[in-house]
Amino acid sequence: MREDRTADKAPGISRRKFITGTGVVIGGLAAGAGSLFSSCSPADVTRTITLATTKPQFICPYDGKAFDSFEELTAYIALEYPGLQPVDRYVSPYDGREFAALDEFRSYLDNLFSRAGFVRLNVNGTYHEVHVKAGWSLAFVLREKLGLTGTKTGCNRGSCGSCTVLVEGLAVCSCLMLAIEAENKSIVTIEGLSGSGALHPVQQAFVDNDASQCGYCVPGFIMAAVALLDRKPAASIDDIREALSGNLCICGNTKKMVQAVLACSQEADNE
Amino acid sequence: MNEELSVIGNPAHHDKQIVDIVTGSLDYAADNLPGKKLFVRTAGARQAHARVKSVDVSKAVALDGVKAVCTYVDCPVFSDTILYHGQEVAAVAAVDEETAARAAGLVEVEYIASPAVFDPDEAMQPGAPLVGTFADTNFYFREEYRGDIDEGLRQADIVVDATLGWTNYFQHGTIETCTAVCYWVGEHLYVRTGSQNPFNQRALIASALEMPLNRVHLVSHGTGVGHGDKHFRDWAVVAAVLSRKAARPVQYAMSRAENFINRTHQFPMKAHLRIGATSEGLMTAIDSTFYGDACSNGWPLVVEANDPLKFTYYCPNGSFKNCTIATNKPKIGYWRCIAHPPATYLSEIAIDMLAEKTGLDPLEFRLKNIVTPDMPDQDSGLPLSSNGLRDCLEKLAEAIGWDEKWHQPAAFKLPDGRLHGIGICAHIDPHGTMALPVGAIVNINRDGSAFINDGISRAGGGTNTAHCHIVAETLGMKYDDVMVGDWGNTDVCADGGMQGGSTRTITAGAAFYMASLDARDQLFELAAGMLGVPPELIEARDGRIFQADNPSNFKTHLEVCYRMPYPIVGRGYTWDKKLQRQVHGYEAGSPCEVRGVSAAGCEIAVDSETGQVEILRFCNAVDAGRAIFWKGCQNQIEGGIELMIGQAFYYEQILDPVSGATLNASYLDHKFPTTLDFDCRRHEAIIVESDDACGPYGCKGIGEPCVSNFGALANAVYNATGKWIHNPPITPAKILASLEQA
Ligand code: FES
Ligand code: FES
Repeated sequence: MREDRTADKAPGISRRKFITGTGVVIGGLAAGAGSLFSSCSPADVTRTITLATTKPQFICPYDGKAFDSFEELTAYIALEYPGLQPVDRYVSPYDGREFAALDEFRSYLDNLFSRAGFVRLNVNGTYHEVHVKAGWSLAFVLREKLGLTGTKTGCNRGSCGSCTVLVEGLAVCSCLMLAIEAENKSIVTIEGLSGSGALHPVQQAFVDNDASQCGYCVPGFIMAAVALLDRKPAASIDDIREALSGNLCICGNTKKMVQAVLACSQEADNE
Repeated sequence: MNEELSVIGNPAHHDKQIVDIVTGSLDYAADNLPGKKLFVRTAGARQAHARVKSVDVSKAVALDGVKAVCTYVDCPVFSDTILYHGQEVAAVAAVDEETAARAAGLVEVEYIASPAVFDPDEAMQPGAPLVGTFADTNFYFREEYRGDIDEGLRQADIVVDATLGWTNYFQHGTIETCTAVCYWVGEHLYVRTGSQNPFNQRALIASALEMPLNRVHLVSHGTGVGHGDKHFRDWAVVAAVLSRKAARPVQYAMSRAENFINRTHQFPMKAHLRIGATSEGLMTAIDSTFYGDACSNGWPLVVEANDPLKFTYYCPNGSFKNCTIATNKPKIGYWRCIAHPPATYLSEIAIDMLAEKTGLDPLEFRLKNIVTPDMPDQDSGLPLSSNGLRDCLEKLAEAIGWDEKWHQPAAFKLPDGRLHGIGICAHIDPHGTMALPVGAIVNINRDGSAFINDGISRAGGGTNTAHCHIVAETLGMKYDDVMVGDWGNTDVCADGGMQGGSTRTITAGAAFYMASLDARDQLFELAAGMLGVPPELIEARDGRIFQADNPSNFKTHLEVCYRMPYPIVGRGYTWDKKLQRQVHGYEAGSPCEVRGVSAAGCEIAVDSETGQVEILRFCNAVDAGRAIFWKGCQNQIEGGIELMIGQAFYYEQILDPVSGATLNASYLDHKFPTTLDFDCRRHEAIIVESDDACGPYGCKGIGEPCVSNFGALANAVYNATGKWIHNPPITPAKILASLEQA
């Protein structure tokens, strides 16, 4: 019985096909797997996978049985389907790199999936699975990997506020948060405020007040203001001054920005 | 708003790029993503004065992820002569900034060290180590005279003799660090960078790389603050060299620390001032010497330091000297001016000292001595195209309540026990003038709209928008019908010149005015046939092209443009630095001087227990000639207030006195004020319109005049405490120390 199944599935196979649960193909089907990837920005070297699960599963190509690790799968195959031809090469579906030896291939994959793994980022309501290095900041990944360059950076040290985004509704310096820390949290960037086409009321107030000189600091100020008003719709001028005090405007344009935020506060209506 | 103008000065008009800004879609240099970018970090010298003996980059090159390394050997903006601590010796391009930084740390440099000097007073002493900027000396003097200084001092009943300074040394802290993204297509270099001067920057880059101009393509859309630091090429050349080596796009966005150390700085200034006046309070003599610490690049920017004293006050006798000093400090450049903010700070302290001695209050003294609009320049004899200083001072005094609030020094306490102070500061400078001629292109569309190709970047408060105002007004179009086309792009724009010297509204504005006239002539030619009247009888306004003496005979721009037989393009260039209109009896067309004119005043409370200063009111009055883009003008003047607060109380870069290393190369330690440091509701911008005879529609520049009167804060502190603090930043510690002195 075992032999029959082997004979059915195996004839002519010279390359193993290991399929992970995400649909990512590891092994000889790499070329065919290209359609499963979508490139998210022109600069992107790391693919974004817009599929559901992150955890790689290793699936036996002959009977579809799933395993958590590559070792388990290879052990299973050695047991269940003895006599198959040995692998002649292993191909990484991420970059097409080929490996002749299983050990090399395995350590390469370990590298991909552990040290430099994938994180799942929920940005402006869309999930992205991004291949990141552990040390990459959220700001870097948003800008350079997801192409969301509305988030600016002025210091990369948490001292200028240009990179402010909302994480779970709170204003956060995205240069200080690692991308891996932001996994599965809801992130809103300046691009997400006007996603529906219409400007967010705070953006509109910035337009009405022409609250910008060079404009570089403005997205950060707007995000800090949105976080404040979401939390406290009737913010006082002092609340506003405090909420914006983590942001630097080197043009010296804060008067118009504070005015703009005040115009959006329900407190302004009562004054 | 002027009745005759339908577009210019309308406070309802918005910035043309504001929506792009609030949505985060305006692209600054690093927002360009041309494929697989590499990132750069540099290695800085650990000596302040040395020659590099050898650089070993082998460990850096070997690091995983490093794609290219350059040193002074192959990067034309680096040198083996080290003149300040932290000067770049090598740069690394790698897959991310962390890797590049790690690799930069692995660069090994051997030096032959020389003694260094950081204190400008020490650098002037005999036997001080030679900095190496000038041959055989660390300093040199220059001198100019007016009238007879000895006679002037003899006529003086009262003389103030004071040595003031040093003022603060600080870095611009542009919120976008100096950044360039470079990539090559064959022999062509593409550069995206923040820029105050795209065309000259392109020329500088091309010359560094020995390339013809038509192979360097530079685009600068957004520039995250210039303040004078983004005229240069260095960061783009580093990115270009590394990009060529790595054959990949390279982004060099300087780190905040690199930017603090390796970009330009405002230079410290000291002054020895002897100013004499009669017992009635009329100035008779100015004997001034300004010392400028020109740091390691030795620019003689201090030569302009005498301008505020020379230009602001009528005084027949003067001796104006300046001294440029070299030290081994990180290099200097322009900060929103050449020398005038610190020079005004020091000279306006001396003016207040003199006023006090004459028994006049600071405002009275100034009103008595400032040059009047009809006075020609005292040295060149040329007329001034406008001078609204008296207006500035009077409006300022009213806004701030000077007459009720001024008191003798240290003579008034607020109910809460804090010391109350009020101060003013005023000056005239050579900014805001017509600079070197530049070009402008206006394109007319078939639907009756127009767009402009503006050769400058968006580095500040909407100069491109001001240009749209000028074009719409001149073409008689509605404001909404004129847009900014591509801008800051050396491939499609005419050279728009430098965003410096407060010159872009007036200089490039004049070019756009001329380009609009050129386009308008073509339009009127076309309209003549349709209206049945000759072109010289046609006018345009508010979206209509009509018969001047019969406005009901009109066509809309759409109706005319729809019939364009060929594309209508207007070309223009700046007119000469001449009067366009007649002023004070001088004929139109004769040469003139355009002057930057402004005054500021503030009211403060000083806590004598903590040294804390609270700003109760701060008004900034600036003579804009004519506000073209009203809100942009207002923004810039309000911004001037925050920048004056910064100069007076915060900005300062601190060096280790032994090694010369920068100790506060971060925003946390090199402070810039935030919304909590002042209450912006107490700030007021006052726009004064003097209708400049030279500028298009009467405008002139305000960018530098609006930041230069931070001496008002020193004068207010004196009014509160009776103590002069002439070495800004005025910190609480300095105030407490001054209060302890008898
Ligand atoms: S870039 Fe994040 S706070 Fe400055
Ligand atoms: S508008 Fe330029 S830094 Fe804020």
